[in-house]
Amino acid sequence: MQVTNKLTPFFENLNFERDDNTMVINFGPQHPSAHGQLRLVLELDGELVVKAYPDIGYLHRGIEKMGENMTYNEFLPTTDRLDYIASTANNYAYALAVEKLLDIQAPRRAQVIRTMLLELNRIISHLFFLATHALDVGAMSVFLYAFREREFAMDLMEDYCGARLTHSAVRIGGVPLDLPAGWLENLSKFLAKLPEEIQTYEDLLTENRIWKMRLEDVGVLAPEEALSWGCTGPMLRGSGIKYDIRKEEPYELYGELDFDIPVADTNDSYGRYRLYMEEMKQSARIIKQLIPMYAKTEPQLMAHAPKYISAPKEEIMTQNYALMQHFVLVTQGMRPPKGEVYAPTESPKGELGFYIKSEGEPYAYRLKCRAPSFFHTGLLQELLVGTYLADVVTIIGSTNIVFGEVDR
Amino acid sequence: MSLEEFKNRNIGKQNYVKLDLEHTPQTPLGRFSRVVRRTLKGELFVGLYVTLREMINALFRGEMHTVKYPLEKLPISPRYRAIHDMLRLLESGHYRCIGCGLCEKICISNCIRMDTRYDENQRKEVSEYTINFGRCIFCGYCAEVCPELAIVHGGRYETASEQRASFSIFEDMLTPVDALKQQKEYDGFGAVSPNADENIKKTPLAY
Ligand code: SF4
Ligand code: SF4
Repeated sequence: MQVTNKLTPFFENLNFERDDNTMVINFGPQHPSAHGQLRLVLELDGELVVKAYPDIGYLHRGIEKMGENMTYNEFLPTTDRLDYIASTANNYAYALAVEKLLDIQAPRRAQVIRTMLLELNRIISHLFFLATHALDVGAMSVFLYAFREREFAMDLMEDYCGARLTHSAVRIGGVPLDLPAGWLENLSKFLAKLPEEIQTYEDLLTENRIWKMRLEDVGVLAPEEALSWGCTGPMLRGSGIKYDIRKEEPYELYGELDFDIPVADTNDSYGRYRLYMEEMKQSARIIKQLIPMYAKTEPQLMAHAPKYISAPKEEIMTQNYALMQHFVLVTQGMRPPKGEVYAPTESPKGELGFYIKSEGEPYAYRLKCRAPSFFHTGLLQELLVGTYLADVVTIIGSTNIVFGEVDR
Repeated sequence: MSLEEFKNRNIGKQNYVKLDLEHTPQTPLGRFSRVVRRTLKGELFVGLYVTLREMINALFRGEMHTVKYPLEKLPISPRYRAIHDMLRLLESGHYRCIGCGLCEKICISNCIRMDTRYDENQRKEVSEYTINFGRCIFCGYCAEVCPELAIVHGGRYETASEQRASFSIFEDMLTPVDALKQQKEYDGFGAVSPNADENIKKTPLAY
């Protein structure tokens, strides 16, 4: 690792002209397997990486600052652009933080729908991980098959909220829409097909000798390192540490549901791959339990909190007070009480949480997003040292970083 | 809680399952026997069978999963958020928009511009209404806040055009008068709930 200090910060102690055999190369920011805009400065000795320095910021949009200049409701579609592979997870994390600040709770039907969407997004995200990871390592057919299944899952998202990628499918205090007719049947059909498809991927990869050779003992992350780098999600559980926020601090309906969290103790990329496969099956299991729960709920979708949340559309269209309140809430924004909150959630990639400091104004005084991929990118400078250039792609794929989230 | 306890994230007790994974053998003999075991395994044929099966399914059993896009198009869902439509009142044929400006305010990318004025009967009239589709992120918030169900999303998703101005004109988004019969309500963000009639109570007290 580079030794940095104030006088010689990162780049300046990288010596580009050298007389020994090492070579400095740039990996990215436009490398197809750099998962977005990752620029890696690698110092190579032959094929061996001796120093790695991830350089981020190529996708920086100032989303946190935007959050401080927008009303709470307006900011929600912006969170879609964080982890754009599973955008509902971001919407939800943000909505949860604001709900905690307002001290309101979504009605039960909204909770069921949200949990379903969250797990559906986890499946979408994991399929995407599998597809790109396999493609990076060289298994093209898995990429095609996994993307096919992902399209079906995204069809479900489209039927629910009208968008395939940037869902905005959650609102502060509930969900905007009820499930359309026939959606649950389509969902059940998808879930019935999913194990078959997972079996296809497993047939192609799990035992495959090339896949094993490329993944086993590559990107070994010791449990202590995983902890000290702030890893969460599958990266942490892939190092044998039992920590999943859905179990440790249950939010939404996770406390009532019955599911297992897989943990792998080989610490390598192969263990993490198996973990992702198992998590997909567990997500399907969660959704299956939620389907009968939906029918038992009242039709209310948004929490009843006139001070913060607009009335349903039919009330706005028929009742004067509801309309006036709606105008105030849209034009001025809600004014949450003073205070600060942090609400962690388990997004497909790890711990995703929003910190909000409110001064009682319609705009947050400070909004901070704790995104898992950011920490996993920093980890690269330790994980890549001592590996071969060919494994760099495997390791980046295995950390499952997405750059919307890193650069924010 | 002590700092040590606080920092210990390895706290799970219930429902964590350890995956059954093979560790790399440490002894030379173990490694050798693993090489032999893996060499003699037939898993590559399983993989070949899977790809062959998928190919046969696609070519001969009609399970092709791709479409030839500009020639064939997949149906989009009724809630799909594409280029906006401005709806008209069914009774009078007048446009529904009352020029309240809520959509202009909520728009995240500030792409709606509108202006109103008094017409000759001293009624409010929308004199200008444009959406810059080069900036619109199709979030659906304008449809969600509109109190008149005037602005909704339509199904036009092929947005390429020769000129930027092409999509942003109010008249283009407005339902043509002669197509008023075919005008459909939008089902997605901002729609009234399906059982709206029962939900409406006479006395509004909470707001
Ligand atoms: S969809 Fe969103 S970005 Fe587009 S015009 Fe409506 S509010 Fe603005
Ligand atoms: S919110 Fe609806 S009624 Fe108000 S200006 Fe926009 S389109 Fe017109």
